[in-house]
Parts: sequence; C-alpha cells; structure tokens
Amino acid sequence: MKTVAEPKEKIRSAPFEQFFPEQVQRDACLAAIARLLEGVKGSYASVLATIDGKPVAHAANDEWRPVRVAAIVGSLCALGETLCKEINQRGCRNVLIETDTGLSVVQRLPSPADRLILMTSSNRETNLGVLLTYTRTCAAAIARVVTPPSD
Amino acid sequence: MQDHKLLFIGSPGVGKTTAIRTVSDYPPVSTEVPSTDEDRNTTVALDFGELTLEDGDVLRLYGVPGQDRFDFIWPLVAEGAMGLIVLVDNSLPEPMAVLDTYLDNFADYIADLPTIVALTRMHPGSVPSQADCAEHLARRRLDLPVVAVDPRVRNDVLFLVGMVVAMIEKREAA
Repeated sequence: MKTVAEPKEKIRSAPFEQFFPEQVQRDACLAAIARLLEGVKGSYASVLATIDGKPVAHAANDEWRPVRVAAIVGSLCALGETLCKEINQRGCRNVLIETDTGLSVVQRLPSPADRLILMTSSNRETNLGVLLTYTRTCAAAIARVVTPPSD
Repeated sequence: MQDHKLLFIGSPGVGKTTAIRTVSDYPPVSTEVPSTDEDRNTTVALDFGELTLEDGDVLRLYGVPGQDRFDFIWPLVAEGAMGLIVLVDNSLPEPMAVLDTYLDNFADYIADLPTIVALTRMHPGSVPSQADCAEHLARRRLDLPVVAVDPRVRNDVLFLVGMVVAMIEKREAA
C-alpha cells in the first residue's frame, strides 16, 4: 500500500494553507490523493500544484523535486490549454504524456478548484482509462473540499 | 527577407507580455494565469508574437516567465534567439539587484547576443536613472545600451526592438 506523505515542511507553504485552511480539508485532500494512488495499479506519484506552478501537496515513491515538478506542471497545463484554443478546440481535459516507461496525466481541477492542477504518474502496467478516471475522481473530490480564492 | 528571434526577459510583472502584445501583428500566444500571491496575471510558459517590419523582415518575439522556478523553460525558449531584451522594473525597491539576477542567469546568452537593458516604470527624476544603470553595468564590465520604455506604448517597443535588430545587423555585417 502506498503512503501519502504530508507535504514536507518546506513545501507545506502558503498555497496548501490557502486552499485548505482547515485541518479537515487538508486531511480530505491528502486522503483523495491516497485513494487515487491506491486505486491505480502502477501509479507511483501525484502532485497537486497551483496553476502558476507552486507545489501544494504531493505523494511520490521516488525522489522527486516537487517544487520543480509543480512549475513544469503549471507550464504544461497552460501550454495544453493554449494549444487547444489555438487549434479551435474547447474544454481541455487533460495533458497526457506517454513515454517508454510510463504515463503522466495533467488535469486542471473543476470549479471551484480551477486554480489547482493535479498530475498523476504511473508505470506501463497502468491502464490509461483507469488512470484518467481515477485522476478525474480525485480532482472532483479535492474540488469538493477546497476553499477557493476570494476574488 | 530575414527572420529574427528576440527574447524578452525580466522580473514578473515588468511588462514582457505587454510589450509583445503591444507590437505583435496578431494577438500573441499567451500563457498567463492568475497569480496566487499577487493581484495580477503571470506568464507560466511563454509568450509569442510576431512583428513584420517595413522591409519585410519578421521579428519573432518570445517572452519567458520571470520567476526562477520556471528556469527550466528559459533555455528551451532561448534556443536560437538572436537578440535579448532585459526589462527592469525601476519601481522595485532594488531594481539593480533584480537586474543582476537576470544578468547572472542569462550570462552565457548576454555574452553571445546583442542585448539591451530597458527600464520600465520610469518617471522624471527616477532613481536609479539610465545613467546610474549604465554605471552599474560598467562596474560589471558590461557595455550594454540602456533605454527607458513604457511597454504599453507601441512606439517605445518599436524603438526597442529596432535597436536590437540594428545591433544584430551590425554584428552580421562585421
């Protein structure tokens, strides 16, 4: 069973407290990520980031640098959505990266959590449909407990 | 007809996106999102616009995010750049210190490419002045032009990119 670490102190930063000000919200957010990783065979990491590329929470069985991954995830999501607009598509759902060794899906959370992005990574054992479904379910669960920015 | 790639760098909110938008022939590609810690938008990947000059030359204008957490994308976007424009927000508390961070981070590019330093948010009597900035650069043994621009003013940005193009063409002619 995978474990979801509390965000390390150094990244338990303003965004985590800002979007999840109450402990019950933070617990629900981390529990949703835990369910995601438990439910998807082959998944090994998930990062929750702000749309401007700051780490909010993460879980990884690997030595990642969440600060850098969050920034890249922010750029990727923006590029995916920008490309969709440029080619006259609407409603960008995911940015999908497929490699020889695995899959990563980047997804903006639904409103009212649409200033957050979730990325899930897995190895080649993973069924893409399962990965997309669980990531979307996790995103919806986090959106139910988030406190959106007041503006 | 020539094609020049110019890169705008500088701190968040300095006016890189605005400068490109001000002169681009069409609405530029923009990756702005709301900032989580400031009441404004911020670029998280790149800006891209094009400007066709009277002689038919085309300038491809790129901007990169100012925050150093996006430093992974700087070399990706900078690849193939022929000129560099460093925008400096002169209203910041320590604009020369901010300038130094970009001079350091882009030192290899500045050594190789025609580069201009452009001060934004200048007002009569602003400190540091253009001369102060030039002295600051000289202390770093950098001989770079320093101009004052308002990124919202088309003629200012046209002047700026025109200077960089002139520097590129002078280098190519040498």
